[in-house]
Amino acid sequence: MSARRDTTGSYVAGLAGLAVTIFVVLAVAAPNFLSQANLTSMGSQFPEFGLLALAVLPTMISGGIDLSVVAISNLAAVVAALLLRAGPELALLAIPAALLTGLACGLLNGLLIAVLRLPPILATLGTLQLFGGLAIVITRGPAITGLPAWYASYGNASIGGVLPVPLLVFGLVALALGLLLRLTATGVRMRLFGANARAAQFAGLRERGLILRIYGGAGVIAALAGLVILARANSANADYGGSYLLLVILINILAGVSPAGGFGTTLGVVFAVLTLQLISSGLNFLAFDAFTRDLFFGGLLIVVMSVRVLVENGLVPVPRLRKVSLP
Amino acid sequence: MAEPLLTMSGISKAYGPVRVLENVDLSLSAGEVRCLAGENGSGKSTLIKILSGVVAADGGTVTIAGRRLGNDARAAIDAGLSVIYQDFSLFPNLTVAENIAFLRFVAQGRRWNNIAEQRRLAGDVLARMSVDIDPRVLVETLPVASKQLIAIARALANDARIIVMDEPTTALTRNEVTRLAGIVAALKDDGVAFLFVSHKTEEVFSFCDTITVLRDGHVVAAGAVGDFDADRLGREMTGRSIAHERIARADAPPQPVFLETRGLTRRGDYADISLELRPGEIVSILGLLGSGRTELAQTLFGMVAADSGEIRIGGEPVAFAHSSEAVEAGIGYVPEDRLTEGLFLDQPIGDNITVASLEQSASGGLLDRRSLAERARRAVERLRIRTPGIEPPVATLSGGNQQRVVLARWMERSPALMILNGPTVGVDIGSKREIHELLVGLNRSGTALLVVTDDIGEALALSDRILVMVNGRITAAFDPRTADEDTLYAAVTTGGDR
Repeated sequence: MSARRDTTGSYVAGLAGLAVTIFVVLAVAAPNFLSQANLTSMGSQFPEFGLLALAVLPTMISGGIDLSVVAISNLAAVVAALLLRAGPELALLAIPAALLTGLACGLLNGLLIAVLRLPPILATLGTLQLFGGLAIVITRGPAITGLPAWYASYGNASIGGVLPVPLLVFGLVALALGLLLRLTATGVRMRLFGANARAAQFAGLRERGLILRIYGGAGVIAALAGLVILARANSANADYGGSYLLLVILINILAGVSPAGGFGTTLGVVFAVLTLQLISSGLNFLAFDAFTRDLFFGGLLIVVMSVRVLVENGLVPVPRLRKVSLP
Repeated sequence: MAEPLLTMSGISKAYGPVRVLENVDLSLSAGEVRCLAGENGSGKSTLIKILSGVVAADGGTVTIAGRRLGNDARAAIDAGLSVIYQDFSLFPNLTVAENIAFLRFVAQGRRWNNIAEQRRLAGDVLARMSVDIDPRVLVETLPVASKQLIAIARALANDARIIVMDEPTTALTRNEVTRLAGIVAALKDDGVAFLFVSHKTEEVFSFCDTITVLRDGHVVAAGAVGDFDADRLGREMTGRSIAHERIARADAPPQPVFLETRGLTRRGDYADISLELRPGEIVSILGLLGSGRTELAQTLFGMVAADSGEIRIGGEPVAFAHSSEAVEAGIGYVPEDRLTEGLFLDQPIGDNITVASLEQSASGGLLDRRSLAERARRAVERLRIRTPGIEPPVATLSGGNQQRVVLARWMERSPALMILNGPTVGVDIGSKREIHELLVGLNRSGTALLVVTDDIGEALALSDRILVMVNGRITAAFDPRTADEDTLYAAVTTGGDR
């Protein structure tokens, strides 16, 4: 039996290099790219799908997946929109209610997986329909509009004129998740459970509590994405972001997260999100048709995965970054 | 004897700088049963892979019935070679007849599935072996011994003249071994030759005509079975005299019972188990695969529920709903299958060691990574795990060192009871003795050890008491200071019919 070598460290470094390269190329090729207007606009575009990708990350590290994140974020946005519209007294409850909705949805996923032992991909495929259907029934189809103006103005504000609020939210969530994965017992257990669920049981890990926490957390992060989207779109739509689900999975794969579980880093997801956003903006700047975006994303994913397999099998020589061992 | 059916001569093989086989000769005549003996890592499996054409040799030749074979698995099968691996490689979801006919029909390049002909072929082969198994039943419903017979039948159906069997008696009761020996003897008379890959002395001596011993890739001894006895065989395999007598120890001072069971029963697995374990004591449960030993061990660890009876810890009844509760109660468990149950193979050695004791290095919800690394490094040193560091994946270690990692995991918790299911399965003889000594040493610090095993030598070397488990019941208890291997072997393998 051969071990999968953990190439995550050097892989993430490579991904960062790719993001920087694209950034430099665009900065040189397109004069307006470095303008503050463009940077700010980019900074408020990617956090919504970036957050969704972060929501999926812990589920994939633990050997599962959450297909329902987009549906959860829409349902949370709908709940928040209804409360915002209901009047100033209830508007304050909008954010906590949205987060609670996300938590409840995530816990339902967790229960289906931990207690009924449904495979995560099937459980969350079911709840994807369930949550999406619930949002449609609530809204009866059309988007909920007419939100109080303050919500969008806060949600789209830039702190100090440079740091868009959505970017701040994304940064804070990434930081918190990164700390959780690296520096808490839960994070280590998540990774080991994902690497071998059977061995985790023999090591006395409480998998039920772990799964509930993972999917509950994913629900909360998805709800945050819903709140960010609500501010940007200034409306709540039951079927917003239909193409986000595949994009979000793509980001995680590009980030070097193992679909089999056990490997994946927050930093990887951050760089994967940046890379895709840069490519997407770059295509606009270089006057490519908007329809070519998917072509590039798909091509990039295939190339990156192929290169990774070739490197892991030693078919392409790569200088190995020395892992810095702890003192 | 006539011209050998199989000749391997001058076989050499290296993986990079590591020389795995060096000028190995082996021959097999029609009707001969030869044992290929050697420790893990001696090159046995590489030799079999070269023989079966899966791996190419760097030098030397393989000749079957005068025809020289290259590195071609298909040609080896066509020449009448059949390898039966330990897991038999059967299709559990297909019938006996389909399994038996499969290889032959594939070899003949058939495109259509002829059920009637499959049944006929299976019936003929089973009749030739004088085995009575219904060809229509699904293989997954059969006991292990029958599966093995199906694997032999499949080889015969494909006109095998040389059958290689890997560790053939691991899961068999005495009656089943006798039956297998009868079938092997009958097939020998038909001119079928067998090569048994084994390191179990009992089966070597009860089956084989000749022995070839491999050590470090060299043939160190070969000859008729009469030239060997158990001591010589062990010495040739390891290159030194390995002590296998009971490890000396001071008697544990009498202490109150830590864990006891009363009439513990789980239908179909074990019945009416009553036992007592005291701190500082090593108790072995000696039983064959399928005797209910694993289910009993897992029940004590909270992974399998009993139907009736009770478990008491320190006199208080407990009912574990989950392994984590057993861990809380001070129990550790070293599972049978290290690779799938014991280890997180691709994950760092350090995490594999500290996984069950993370909370010891946490404060305020955050892990102290330095303390984790420190503890892992100390454990590596204490258990003499041979590794350059705690960062590499645990899969890079050898079997014996991997097992130490699992032991280290529980020693971090200083458990009151450690259950070890097959603690040295797949560990070579030299490393095995070291692990035994380690366990006896660990035990002096007041941990109770429950060792579940089918290895009589292991039970004798380790235990303070030996309980024999047959067919789900504890049938006898022995004092290892006075019991001998033959008595234990008889106790473990009798009454095992089902």
